[in-house]
Amino acid sequence: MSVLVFISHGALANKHFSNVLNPAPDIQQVGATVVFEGIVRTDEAGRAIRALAYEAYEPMASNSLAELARDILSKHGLIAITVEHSRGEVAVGQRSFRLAIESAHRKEALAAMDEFIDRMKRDVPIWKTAIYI
Amino acid sequence: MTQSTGIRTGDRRHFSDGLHSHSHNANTVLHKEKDNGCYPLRMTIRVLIFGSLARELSCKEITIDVTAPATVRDLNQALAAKHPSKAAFFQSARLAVNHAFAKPDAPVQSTDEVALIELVGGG
Repeated sequence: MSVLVFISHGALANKHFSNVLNPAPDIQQVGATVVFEGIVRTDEAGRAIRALAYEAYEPMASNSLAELARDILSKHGLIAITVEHSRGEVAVGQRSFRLAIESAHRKEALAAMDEFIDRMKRDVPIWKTAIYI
Repeated sequence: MTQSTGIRTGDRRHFSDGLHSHSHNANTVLHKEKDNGCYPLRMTIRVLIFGSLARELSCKEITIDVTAPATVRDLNQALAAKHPSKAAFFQSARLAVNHAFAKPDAPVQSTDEVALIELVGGG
């Protein structure tokens, strides 16, 4: 089982699904990889924006993401979780969040994905601000 | 509530039940004397704020004055008293002490880093 957390400045680099795999020791048990990417939309509440600015309260943000990932990993019996989140400005169309979950079967990975994102939006100290055009 | 601003000499009274620390009486806030005749120490706590709250209040931190010893609950109450228009929000806002969520009865020292963790929205 393995958890990796990255909070980095600016938009996340595009990735092919083949290289999001977490180098967990038991990676050969993986039968399902589910990847979610959050992309900045063109508007917030109906008003056009050029970017979102993310503010992370560190080190609590990284620690909270890692703690959440470990909890979800254990609860759903997953093999690996990799979380990437942006801080600073991310332009429209760019990626600001990526969550890759690896498990033996799809069901637990899909359930874990939803729960992780809900809890992150409630508990992890990251704030976003719309930068309007 | 611990947001008192001090003692008015003319209102000074003696309380025999010890330490905790003040009561409200009309417009006057009185500190109870400790058994040794001393008055409780005051301490200043900076509470970091973020996101839409920081924009709304046009600042990055709120400074509050509380009586020592203080708990997280005391900070919530002091924040609510300082911003009456948002009192309900501040009464129940989650506070982190030294980068971990703290329970209402957790103690707070003047050297602690306190942050208000609400209205988050990562992803």
